[in-house]
Amino acid sequence: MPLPELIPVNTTPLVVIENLHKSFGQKSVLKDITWQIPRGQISGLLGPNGAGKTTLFRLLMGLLKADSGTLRVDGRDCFIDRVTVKRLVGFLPDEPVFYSYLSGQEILELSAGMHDLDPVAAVKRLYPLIGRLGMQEAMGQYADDYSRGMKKKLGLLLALLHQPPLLVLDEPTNGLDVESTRMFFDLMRELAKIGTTIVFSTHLMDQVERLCTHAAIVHQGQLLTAGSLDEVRAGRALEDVFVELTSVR
Amino acid sequence: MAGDLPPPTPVWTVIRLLWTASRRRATGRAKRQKEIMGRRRQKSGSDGIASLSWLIALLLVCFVHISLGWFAGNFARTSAEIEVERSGRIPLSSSEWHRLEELTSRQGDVLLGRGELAARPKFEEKKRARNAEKARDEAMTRLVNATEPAGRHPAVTAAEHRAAVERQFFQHGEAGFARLNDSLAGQLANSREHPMVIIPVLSFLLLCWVGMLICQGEGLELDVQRRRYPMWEWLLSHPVRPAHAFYVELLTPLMANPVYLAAPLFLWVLLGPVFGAGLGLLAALLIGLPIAVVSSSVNKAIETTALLRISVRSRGALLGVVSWFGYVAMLLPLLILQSDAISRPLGQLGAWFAPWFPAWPVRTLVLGWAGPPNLAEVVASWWVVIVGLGTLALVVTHRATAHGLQAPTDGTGPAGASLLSVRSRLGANPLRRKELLWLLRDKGAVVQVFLVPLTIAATQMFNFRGLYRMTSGSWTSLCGLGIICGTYFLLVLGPRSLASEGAALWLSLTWPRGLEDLLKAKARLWSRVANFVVGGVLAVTCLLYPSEWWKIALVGCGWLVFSSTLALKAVSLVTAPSSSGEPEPPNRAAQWIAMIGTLAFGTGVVTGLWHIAILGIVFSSLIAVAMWQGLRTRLPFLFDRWSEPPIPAPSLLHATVGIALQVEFIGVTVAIASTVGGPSSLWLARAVGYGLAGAVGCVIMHQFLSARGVSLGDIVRWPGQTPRYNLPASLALGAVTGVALAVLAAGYLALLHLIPAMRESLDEATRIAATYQGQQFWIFLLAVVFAPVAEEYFFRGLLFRALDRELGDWRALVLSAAVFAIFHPPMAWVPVACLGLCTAWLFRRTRHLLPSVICHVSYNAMILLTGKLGQ
Repeated sequence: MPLPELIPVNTTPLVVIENLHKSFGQKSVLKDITWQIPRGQISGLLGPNGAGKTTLFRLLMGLLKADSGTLRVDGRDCFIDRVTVKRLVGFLPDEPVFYSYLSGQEILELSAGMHDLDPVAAVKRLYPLIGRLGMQEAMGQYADDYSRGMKKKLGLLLALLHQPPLLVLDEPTNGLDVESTRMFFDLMRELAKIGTTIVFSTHLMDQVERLCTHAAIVHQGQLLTAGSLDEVRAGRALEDVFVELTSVR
Repeated sequence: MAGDLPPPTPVWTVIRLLWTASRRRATGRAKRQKEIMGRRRQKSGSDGIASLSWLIALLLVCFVHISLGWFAGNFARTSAEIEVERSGRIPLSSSEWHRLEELTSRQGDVLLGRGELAARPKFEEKKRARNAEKARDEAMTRLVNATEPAGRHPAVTAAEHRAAVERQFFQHGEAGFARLNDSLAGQLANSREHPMVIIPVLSFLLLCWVGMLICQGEGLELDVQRRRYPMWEWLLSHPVRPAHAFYVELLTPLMANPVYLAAPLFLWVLLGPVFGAGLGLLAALLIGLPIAVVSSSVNKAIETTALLRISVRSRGALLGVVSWFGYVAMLLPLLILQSDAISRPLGQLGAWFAPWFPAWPVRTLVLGWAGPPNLAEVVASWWVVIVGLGTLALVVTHRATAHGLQAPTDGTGPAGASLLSVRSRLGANPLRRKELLWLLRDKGAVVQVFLVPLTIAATQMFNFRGLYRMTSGSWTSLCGLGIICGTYFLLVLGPRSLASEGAALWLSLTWPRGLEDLLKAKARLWSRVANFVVGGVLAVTCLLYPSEWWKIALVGCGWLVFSSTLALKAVSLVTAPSSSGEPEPPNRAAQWIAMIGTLAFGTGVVTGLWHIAILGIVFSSLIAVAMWQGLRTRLPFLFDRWSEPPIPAPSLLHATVGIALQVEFIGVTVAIASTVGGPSSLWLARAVGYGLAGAVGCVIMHQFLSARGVSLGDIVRWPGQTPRYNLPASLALGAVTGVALAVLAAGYLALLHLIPAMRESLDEATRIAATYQGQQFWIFLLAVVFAPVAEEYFFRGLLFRALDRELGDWRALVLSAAVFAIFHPPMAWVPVACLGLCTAWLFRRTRHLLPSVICHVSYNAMILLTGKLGQ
């Protein structure tokens, strides 16, 4: 019996950001960012408010155009190939807003259709997750009547709908209760186990320490440090490293 | 202790702070807009067009107010006539009363003469009696003429009218006639004693005017989503009384809609004749400005109530109906009172109502309380209304905000889900399903999507009623009506359906289909819905006029092209909502550009002027592609306006504007040159005009483009690889093509000669041409030198290149040829379109403009030569 051929493990980073600059008018928001996000890992992007986290994610989604430098997801330019990149990326914005005249179920079906998936099958596949998130009843209600946490959960469901290899989550646990946050963490770990790359932004140190394998700290538009969690911490508490780095500059 | 806490922030502080903030926001937004524009380095004409469109809107509302006031005064005459007719007498204006007195005295002479004749039947007496009768008859004619405008019904013939006047005079004498009291003030004063026709009509007009001011609000630019702005939550987190936070918002309609600031004009026109121009103006300002302020406040109070107390899916409906009423209240009196045929029956209806109608409200608002007209009393009466409305606005705002930011829900589950399930035929396309569910569930959408287009279409039809009367009963008018309805349906629906995306636009940006595909799909969907409506009308027309079926089918084909371009234009007006949730107003300049010429197709069909209909289709296609080119450049930067680049020159808009200016300029130059040279030198003038305009136009365009980094070489050479043919071979190909086309054109002309109607006009053209024998040189110079160079530069060098960049296939060839053709007389459309097709093809194939120029030159030269031979 011939031995099964060994599938080479792809060790190249999934997201490559090089010398990225972005400004709005006179205001420089991101300065010379170079960051590689490894495949199949959970990376946390830490930074105080206004550090440029959301702008970086919007650039990743092709919603903004970089002034200079490159952003690539699996070798594709995030702005030029922004349409194909969306097949690879599931995105959860900080404050998701939905159509006020569609129910949760209908929004999921709409989004599945727009990803060229069979709406019924795609939503059916999400049923277990909908159950875990406690969203069964909400599926039949107008998304307009949802609470903030429910909107976040619906946004998460939308991001996972097309089973993307990369998840970009902007402050995902904002507005979630303790139980949902714990459930969210478990879900992220399961997704990482099956090879999904996850990058999320937060300003909470303990979430990064509990969940992430990699971390990066951004402050005033500059990437101060990035790498595996142990490299970043260098044997100290993450909070100490963060405070030290952000207060020096 | 609770008692030690300071009281809420005083109301005036709140108003002052929020007012300053709103002014700062407005200037901030303008400044940012300027910065972004400046960053793009390319001056955009849209600023100018936006302020121009604002100016046009202002002029339009000034016209509305003045017309309403003028119609009120004008109706006084109609109502006076009705009053007199009801009393069984014949109306005569005061200025013509002396005619009646003259006739009475002549009649006296006649009677006297008869008496004398009976006493002394001598020759002189006979002659005198005859002269007296003759003078009486002449006086009678003058009287009849004087009563004509007012007393003669359009259905009565002149002879019948004369007979009626004579009967009236001989039976009743002067008592059979009544002085026409056609001053508004006089009739209002009379209303103290008698019920007057003017009272109900003027009350209706005043109610419409106030209703228009109250209901129009910020205009018909509706935000379908009708979301509450997140800023409100923040505002209400301050220690201020909730209503106070909304006081400043009460004035936003006043700032947004020029109809408010123009309000004094109506009062000036209404009160001016009563109190004189100077005092009338004073009164108009004293009343008009405060009434603008309070009616704007009432409108905003209604809107605030709807936003706070009504569920999100019903708000749009209520506000849609209110704003629709504002629009109708403006149009209705304008339409009714401008036409005597409608205002007279209305007056007769008013005469029936008058005895039960209270006259004092209108009388006090125009004349005063009692006695002669009194300005102070009029102003005081209006101020009672103003204070009443102001109180209403404040009370409504207080009541609306008393329960804070309520979140009312409909209470029912999503409707229509089973009807449009994902497995059904209609629901299979995700985007179509979403739009149809929106139409089904958002009550506001239904109101705005159907009520507003129907109203606009009805108004337009009323405006063009002369045209329809001319063509009534023919199949073209029925087809045209359907098309005009469909046109407004698409123009209103497209931008509305975009507003339904609102802040949820981010969701479509996470889909791989891309926003451009999404918008195109939307355009396709809406044009299909409109096709359904128009198709129904055309099918009915087909049933009524079965013999015209193939012409109706051709109109249908034209509509299919037209509706798709119209939908593309409407959808390209997309704007992204601001992060505070406030709706970003659509670009006014773009809106105006989208509106240009939209009625040409419908009007062309109604009147059977087919070249206008075709012109409408071609022009609409061109504008749609141009707007889409702009949108494509803009779309990736919807959320990143800082990075938005200018459209690379030469864009379609540059080409279109260039061609339009060129045509204008040629017209003006030819007019001047032929005025200077006299009619005998028409062709000299044309050649000079064309040559001058062509040369100057090319130079100006070249300067404009080189400022944007485009050299002449970039225009003359097709972008990309090296030339496919060498230049001499290309030029030869161009010359041969031109000659071949000219031969085809000659064949086409020969064919046209076979059609009798065409032969007549062709012979006429030949006759006219024969009168210009002496100007052969100038005709040759124009046709063979100037025209080819200028036209190839604009139509191929700029227009076709830009079209090809956008469409990139046969459609670019066809559209550029069609645009080229419509700038020529309809008779020449076919050969000119062939020439356009061939020169465009040559340009792309040989990658150089010169072969196209040579082709054009040889074609024109051959046409002139064959024409000469033909003679």
